[in-house]
Amino acid sequence: MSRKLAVLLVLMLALIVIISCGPKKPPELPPPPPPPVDTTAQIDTTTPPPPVVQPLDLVPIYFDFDKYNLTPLATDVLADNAAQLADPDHKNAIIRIEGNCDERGSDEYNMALGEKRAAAARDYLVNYGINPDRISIISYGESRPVDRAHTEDAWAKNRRDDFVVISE
Amino acid sequence: MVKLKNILILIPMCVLLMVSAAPAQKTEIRGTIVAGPTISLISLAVDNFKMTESLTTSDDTAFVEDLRKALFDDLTFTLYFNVVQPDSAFLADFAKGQMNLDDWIYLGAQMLVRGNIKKQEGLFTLSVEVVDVFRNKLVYNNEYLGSAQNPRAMSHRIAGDLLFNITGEKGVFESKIAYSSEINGNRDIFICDFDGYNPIRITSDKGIDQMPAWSNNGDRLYFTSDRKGNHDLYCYVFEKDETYVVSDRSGLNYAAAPSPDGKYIALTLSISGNSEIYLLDNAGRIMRRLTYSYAIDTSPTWSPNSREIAFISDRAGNPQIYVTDVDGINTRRLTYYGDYIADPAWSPRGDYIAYCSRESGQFQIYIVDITGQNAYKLTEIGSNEGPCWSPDGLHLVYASNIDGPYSLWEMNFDGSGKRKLSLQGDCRSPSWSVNLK
Repeated sequence: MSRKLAVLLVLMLALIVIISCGPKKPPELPPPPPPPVDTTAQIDTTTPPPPVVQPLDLVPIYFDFDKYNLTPLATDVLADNAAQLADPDHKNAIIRIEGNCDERGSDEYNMALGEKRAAAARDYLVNYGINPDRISIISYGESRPVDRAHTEDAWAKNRRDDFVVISE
Repeated sequence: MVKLKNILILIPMCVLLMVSAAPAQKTEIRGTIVAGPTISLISLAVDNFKMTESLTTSDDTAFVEDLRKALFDDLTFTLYFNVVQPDSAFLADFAKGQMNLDDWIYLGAQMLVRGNIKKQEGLFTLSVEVVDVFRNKLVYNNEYLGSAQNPRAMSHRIAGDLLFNITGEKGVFESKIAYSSEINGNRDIFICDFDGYNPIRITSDKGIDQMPAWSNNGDRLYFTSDRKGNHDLYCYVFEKDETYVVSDRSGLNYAAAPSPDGKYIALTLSISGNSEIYLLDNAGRIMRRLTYSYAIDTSPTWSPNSREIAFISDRAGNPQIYVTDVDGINTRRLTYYGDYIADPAWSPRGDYIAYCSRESGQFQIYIVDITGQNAYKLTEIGSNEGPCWSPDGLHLVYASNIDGPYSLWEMNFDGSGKRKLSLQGDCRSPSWSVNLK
């Protein structure tokens, strides 16, 4: 009885060892050879083309009605805008964030709301590490719609922060 | 067993009681106004004016007809008069050439306005007399001179004098309305007469000029402009035809509200990082800060005695009306209605605050008494914003998109008598002056 148990134990151990070893890994390939060095470029006397700098492409962000908190989508867009501003190529760029509202509601309240929207984006960028001296904000309330139609679509487009590059 | 049954019945009853004992959400009341500025109408008859032989042409007759019609409109507009006109059927029935005093009494008149009109050197002169028809006693008489081009101006002077001499009320005939209008993509400040006639451009620059507000005596007009890049507060002085900067602090300088006693300008500034209400003196110096809240605080409006200010704040999660004493203490919430209330305007009579409230995506104008208890709805369709009271507290001007782009409309304090002012452009944020003479 005890012998049978011992045999069973040995078999199980063997099975565990086999499973844990698994299939053999394929042999690693040698790294690809480096591309051939173009020796002609080094002896070229003409000036090399300047490094290509991608211009800033700051994308507007959008808000819900009577809200100035950043939506998850707006946060994604802001993260990309922030990364561009943090790029060494654009480390001196100065921008203005313009907060806007749709046409519905009080002109006065919407001036305040637009400023809150611009401030929300500025605070995000500052927390990201962008120097606050590079960012100014202004509200245009209802006075600068991008779409003058009186529809939900138009209103959604108008509740936005624009990122205006003052200097690159 | 019986006991258990009783308990089982009691439990849902307790729940029901607890639910019904919870404070009920206040709802806005819709209905006709039974309190507030109530007026008993005076029945005032206006007889046809007698024309002398100096009026010969058909143009002259047309002028007299225009004048009579304008006077009818003006007297009705005051809300103090039920205007009675000559009844052609009455005249025909009794084969009468003209009405005598007994006839006017029969038609319900208490007072009768009659006049003789003559023409001299191109100008019309109307001699007006007002008679108490019961006592056959002269109440008022005067002479009015007017040009053929402007029967309305002549009518406004006559109606204003009749109102004052019969009721002691000053009316609104000498008041003006300031507003901003966007024409060809550029927003500027304009003023017009109380009835929307004779618009005059006040500013003409590239910036956004908006939110005009009259000084307490109507000699100056405050407005916000971004002509220098920042939204700064400017003041236009009519007598000098000059504009100067009142406040150009960093951030927003807007929603100016000069106090009725002329001492202060309540202004929204975002110099602290977000919109807060401050009191400035007339030179633009900050005298006091009234609000301290991370939320939006804006749209100040003064009580007529200059002791309290109502304003909008979203400190409780959505914009509602709050009231504070002028020293910044004793701030209390006035409204608990809806999810978005804006543009409060304290009546010059002191009894009501007008505002707009969001409903199904549109804004409607309400008035509420100063305890915040009874709200009455004055508009039903379109989006209606930025109400402002007439100096007599009997009319409201507001911006409405009821028939397309925003334009200015007027209505009586109870929502009756809605009429569109014929003005150019996309018109917003009206401000109604005191009588200017």
